[in-house]
Amino acid sequence: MKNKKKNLNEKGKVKCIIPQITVVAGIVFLLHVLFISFGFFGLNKNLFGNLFIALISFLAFLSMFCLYKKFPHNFPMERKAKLFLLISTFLFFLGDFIWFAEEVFLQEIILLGGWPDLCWTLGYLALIISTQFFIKIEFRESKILLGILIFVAIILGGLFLYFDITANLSQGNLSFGSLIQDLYPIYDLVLFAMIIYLLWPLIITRNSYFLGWFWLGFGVLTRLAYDIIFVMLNKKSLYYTGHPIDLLYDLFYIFIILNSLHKSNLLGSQGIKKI
Amino acid sequence: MIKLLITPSEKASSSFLNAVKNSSRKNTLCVLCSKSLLLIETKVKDACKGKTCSFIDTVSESKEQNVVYIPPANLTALSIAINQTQQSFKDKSTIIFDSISGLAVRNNPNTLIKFLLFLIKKSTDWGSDLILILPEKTMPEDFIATLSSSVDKVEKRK
Repeated sequence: MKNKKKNLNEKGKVKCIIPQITVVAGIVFLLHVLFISFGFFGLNKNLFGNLFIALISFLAFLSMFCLYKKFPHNFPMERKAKLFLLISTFLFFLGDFIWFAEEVFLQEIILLGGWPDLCWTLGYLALIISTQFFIKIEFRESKILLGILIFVAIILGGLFLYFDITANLSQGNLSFGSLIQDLYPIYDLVLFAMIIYLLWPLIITRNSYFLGWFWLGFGVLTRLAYDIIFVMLNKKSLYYTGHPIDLLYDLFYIFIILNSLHKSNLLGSQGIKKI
Repeated sequence: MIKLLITPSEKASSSFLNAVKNSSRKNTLCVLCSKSLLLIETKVKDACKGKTCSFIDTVSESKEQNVVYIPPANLTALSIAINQTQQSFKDKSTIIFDSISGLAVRNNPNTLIKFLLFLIKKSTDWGSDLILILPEKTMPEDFIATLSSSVDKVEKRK
């Protein structure tokens, strides 16, 4: 009877497969690198180029889902932060999947500012809310530094937006879609500022706690680089599915997976570990 | 249970070791603010027998695996380290500060009281026990009054 009960309890638990997800994501990324370098899937560039991205973003969502299920209930603020992170990865995946479906199955020319952009914009919003919850977990005597960092991020992003809108206006290319695209670097910069604020007190301490934020910070940096390059390439109609910058896009998800792996390893590790 | 233990300065170290030894939870996080782990290692290891102890040392760095050094002025990093250690424990735990006045050397009392009130709230959320040891006459009266009103129990040792 006792054994039966034990088995039921074990069955009820969510099996954590984050290490396996990380390995699969690594393999998909490697295949994507090979595909972009050698084009050995020359049969259908659109299909494979989009498939790798949709797969990696799904794996990022899955790793976050596993982490959320594993996370203890007596950390309410952390759970809220993780929930928004989960929503964000889901929305990013949904955006990528719609893009994939529209381009591959419906063979439509995807207009900027459509459903995928709506998903990604909401994904960014959820990611910013999640980071705000993470900030609340830490003790801060004052939040002036955060205000300054976000102000600088908005100024830098605003300058990018201003120069791009003026360029678009002079070329007669200004559209709702291009405006939506131009907003992504602002979201990235705001997120990066928030992560710097989170990471700053931990950089000087030599322990493993900062690693999770380090991965996420790197992820946001790669996304920032991708968004800026994408806007520039797209303006000159130089972007195509399977372009090398897609690897930067993959890296954003890879770093999210590494963040979940790090956090998952921390849970139940019974104490502090040095790095 | 959040407890403030006011003790004569010379008995602070023994009060800390007793608190570690008598903590009812299997997992204990010791936050060292007055004496480095290097100085009290043998005694602490004895007190930790049969328990899982982790250490945050704000006095000096250590090469031990289960110790992290956090500078005493960096209360944000200290709050994160405490939080993450709690997450790493499989069950609920006890957090014990060997001397909260040790943190007052590098932080002003207003900041320190804000930090401790923050920690009291978090410990309640986590379901952890928190024991704050305060050597007598090391902190202003209003500091002690504010802290006393926020904990579940104040105990004075003679």
